[in-house]
Amino acid sequence: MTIRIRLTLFWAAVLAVILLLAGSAVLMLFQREQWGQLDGSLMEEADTAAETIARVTPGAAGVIVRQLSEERDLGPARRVQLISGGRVLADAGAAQADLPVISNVPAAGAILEGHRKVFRYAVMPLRVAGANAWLADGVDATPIRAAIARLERTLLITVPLILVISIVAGYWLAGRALEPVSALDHALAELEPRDLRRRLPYRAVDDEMARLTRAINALLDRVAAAAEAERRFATDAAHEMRTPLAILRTGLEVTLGQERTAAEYAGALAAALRETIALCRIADQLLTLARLDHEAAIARRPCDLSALVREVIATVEPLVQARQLHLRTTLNNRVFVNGNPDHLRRLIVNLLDNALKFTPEDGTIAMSLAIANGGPTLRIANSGAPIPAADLPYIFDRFFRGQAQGQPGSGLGLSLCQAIARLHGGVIKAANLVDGGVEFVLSLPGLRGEPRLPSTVNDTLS
Amino acid sequence: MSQAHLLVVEDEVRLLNSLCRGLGEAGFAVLSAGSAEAAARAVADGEFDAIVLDLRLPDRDGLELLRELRAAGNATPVLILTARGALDERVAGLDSGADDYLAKPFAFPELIARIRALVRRRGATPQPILRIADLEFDTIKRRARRGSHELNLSPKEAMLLELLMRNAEQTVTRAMIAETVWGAGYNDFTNLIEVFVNRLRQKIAGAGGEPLIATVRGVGYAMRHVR
Repeated sequence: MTIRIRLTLFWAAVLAVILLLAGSAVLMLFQREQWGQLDGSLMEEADTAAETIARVTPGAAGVIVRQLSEERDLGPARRVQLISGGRVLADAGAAQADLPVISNVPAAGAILEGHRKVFRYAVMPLRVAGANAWLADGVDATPIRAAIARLERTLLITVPLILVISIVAGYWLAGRALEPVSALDHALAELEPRDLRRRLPYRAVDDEMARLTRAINALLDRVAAAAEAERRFATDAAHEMRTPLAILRTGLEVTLGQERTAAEYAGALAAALRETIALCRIADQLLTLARLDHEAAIARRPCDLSALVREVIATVEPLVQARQLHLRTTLNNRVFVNGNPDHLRRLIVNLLDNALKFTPEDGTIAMSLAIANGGPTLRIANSGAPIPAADLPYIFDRFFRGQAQGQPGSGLGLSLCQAIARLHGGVIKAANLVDGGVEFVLSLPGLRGEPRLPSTVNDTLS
Repeated sequence: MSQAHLLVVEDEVRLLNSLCRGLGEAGFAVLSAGSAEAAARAVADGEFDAIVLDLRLPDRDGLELLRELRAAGNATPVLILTARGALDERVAGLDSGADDYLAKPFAFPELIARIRALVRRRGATPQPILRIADLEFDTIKRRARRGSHELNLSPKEAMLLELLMRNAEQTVTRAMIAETVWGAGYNDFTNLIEVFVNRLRQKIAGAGGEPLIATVRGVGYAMRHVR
């Protein structure tokens, strides 16, 4: 069932109840008003007549009854009876009037209907010649009954009519109110995933539809940005693989172009292997990045960051010695982090690899691990040329090579590090040091409730 | 024919080495440059028959260098090499005055075929009527004749024939055919090209005499007159 029909039905139900209540109230008030006036006057006249009759002789009572029956101010006809002890003492007025059925009369008098519900009587008790009697003063209530019936008929016709008109109007109004929704529906149906630049039109008023449309447009902005990032990533990835592929292909084709010596073939194969390894590394990093992109949460467990850092340092030691670098470490013990050890190891390896790449021979790399600002902080500083100020904002961007242009590497290492840090709720910042060199600072959120045992081990490796 | 002189501008040393070696072995005299600056100096110092230019250079954009060359009145044919492959970049390259364009990774025989075509085009003055054996093609009237027999060619067949005849005795690669006759992006429809070449071959042979169009296995086709 559409919202339009549901709205209309709901509106019809509410309106029917309101109209029914209002109609009944009007009818009731009208009846009370009409009868109230008549009954008041009747009681008053009957009361006055009863008092008078009680003081006069029975013969005079007949005169009073007749006089009363001839009055026409309350209705077109009148019938008055004086009854005592089951005997009618006096009776005058309209002969065709329907008489009330009277069993006992309350002391203050009562209003009674004629037995055919045509006349209306005020019945008043009194004493005639020492006996209990009553005076029944009736008036033809046909005009009032007709007026009430007329109102009833009018209501029976107008209430359903109003209801029908309201339902039609309600259906139309619901349609009108939902028109922007239909327009939005059509506009949305026309949006293609390939063309995410289009936005939904909305009127420049601050109504619900405009807000909804703006919310959808904002969603489209985010989707378009994500799609653009994916597209750029795919383009960059293809581009990044093209150069090593070109080196590989041209090298192989040129080598196969003519007969060569075994040494030449061996050299060409070794070169091809180097390119293949580089390609494998790029593919591996791309795959990891793509996976990290789609991983909202990773399997985490408390792991010893200090141990991880030591493990990585032990791995690169031969490289440090071979390049005659000085590696200084200040590592707090038992620095725990809630994380994924494989990802974190990759992060540390990449950061250290980056530092090694840019440290000149005989240069220094300083690593420190401590708790700062409530969380583990790993600092890796290396001596060497600073990062150009223009490059600094981009060094974590995918495929950004900056000064590494022409050096081996894919431009993915640092962006991979940043993606891992973010996934752990942390961040990596890079800065040039005042006294030369570059420092990368990895900040991770702390492990709650973990007892920290401050114990620092200094060791210098060179 | 004397040795054609090439300038190869490429910053990726390993690729540059392979290129120089391969092009040298293919009979070209090759000078290499690893940067736009080195390339500019080389061009100022000597004359080249063609330049192979990588677009991404460490010091300057290859397109910028190309525009400068053209602005200075240098008309040396330039073949652009780039890892960017998007169509708009291809157009930008050709707009900047490049004569041809190859996306990395490319087939080395394709590169050689294209360089040969460029070098040959440079030497040849545009002729309105192309001839090979008794086959004649009028590039203006778009009509071909074999001896006295008029060949009935479709516009695409005429384009194909012109391409082959302009590069007579040279290998014309499938990619070159696809780009010239259908526009970029049809390279994969090798069958389509084969069908067209065969149809053209039949029309030429149908008029009598040798078929003239030879298949160069794995690369493309060549128009050859065997005497």
